[in-house]
Amino acid sequence: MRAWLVRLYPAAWRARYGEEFLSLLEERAVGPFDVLDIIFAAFDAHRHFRGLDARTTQRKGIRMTLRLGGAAAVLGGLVSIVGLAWMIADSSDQGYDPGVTMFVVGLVGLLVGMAGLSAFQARAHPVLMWIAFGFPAAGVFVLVVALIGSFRGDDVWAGFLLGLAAIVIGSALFAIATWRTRALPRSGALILGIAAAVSVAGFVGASAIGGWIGELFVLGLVACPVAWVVVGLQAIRLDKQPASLTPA
Amino acid sequence: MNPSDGPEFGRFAEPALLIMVSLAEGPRHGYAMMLDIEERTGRPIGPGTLYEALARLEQRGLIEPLPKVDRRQPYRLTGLGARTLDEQLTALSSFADAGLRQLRGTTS
Repeated sequence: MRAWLVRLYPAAWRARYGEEFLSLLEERAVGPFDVLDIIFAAFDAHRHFRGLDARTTQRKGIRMTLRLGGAAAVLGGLVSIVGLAWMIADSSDQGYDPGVTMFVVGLVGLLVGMAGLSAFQARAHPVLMWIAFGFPAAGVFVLVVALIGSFRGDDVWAGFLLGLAAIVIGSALFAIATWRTRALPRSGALILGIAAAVSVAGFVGASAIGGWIGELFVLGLVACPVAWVVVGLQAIRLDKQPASLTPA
Repeated sequence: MNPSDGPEFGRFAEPALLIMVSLAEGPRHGYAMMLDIEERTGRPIGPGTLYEALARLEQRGLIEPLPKVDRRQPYRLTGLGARTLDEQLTALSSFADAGLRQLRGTTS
């Protein structure tokens, strides 16, 4: 994967920095944060470093930071909550439900947020962090497929359930990694972990026993985006704190 | 030539400044810079961001590469880089002092 990431850059850039950049990537675990950071930077390099002597004249663009991850988590969480509320309010099973689309769009935001907030966790627990990211990534893919199927009138309820379960499991693993590394305030990780655990318990319980336990799944499902908003706000606050710049 | 005001640095102005501060202690390769910056600031810096800022600093003659050690490429501040960093930190320090005086004068 590391060599593939280097190949994203223009040839002139690779000729100058490629070997040392690859050496840097081989010295440490590469997590979702790093991959997104490299994709954004490579895009920037294509725009501004063709021939290595081109000068950047624009300030616009994306740079991977804790703040970006926090903002994505907050926006993704809020859009997910609105989408869920829309779905609950629109109880009719007929026709297109904009709430579902909104919910899926919100989950994509949460995915970006998870990547943006996972830098330090991935250094300590790279495998756990990739699994944590992989579950919701797969979940979002399944949900998008289910969403497309719903446009054609297919019965996609099972697909939706699987996609949602994957996102909840990914959130739980992210909470565990964050709690263990203290990369972000533990209170946010705890809230996210509890929300995910309630949802998983509801999902498993409803499958095994049925009845009222299924309500726990919905409760956890609503609580998860709320918890992501909390985690995102904590990350933004952390990023706003001035760098100490004290001698090491 | 301040890294924070030139359009050449754009959104890489802050990482560029952090790299120069890190190199003020002596030559470092990329991985050592990342560790140092993350330890100082408590915030992550991605490898892509680091190298986009490094490339801009090198283009402007503020840092320069040293002979490679294995596959690692160390960099150091140039004379121009050291002067630029001095000016930048002095300006930041003056700004912070003025801000603190104003704040304390207002609140006391």
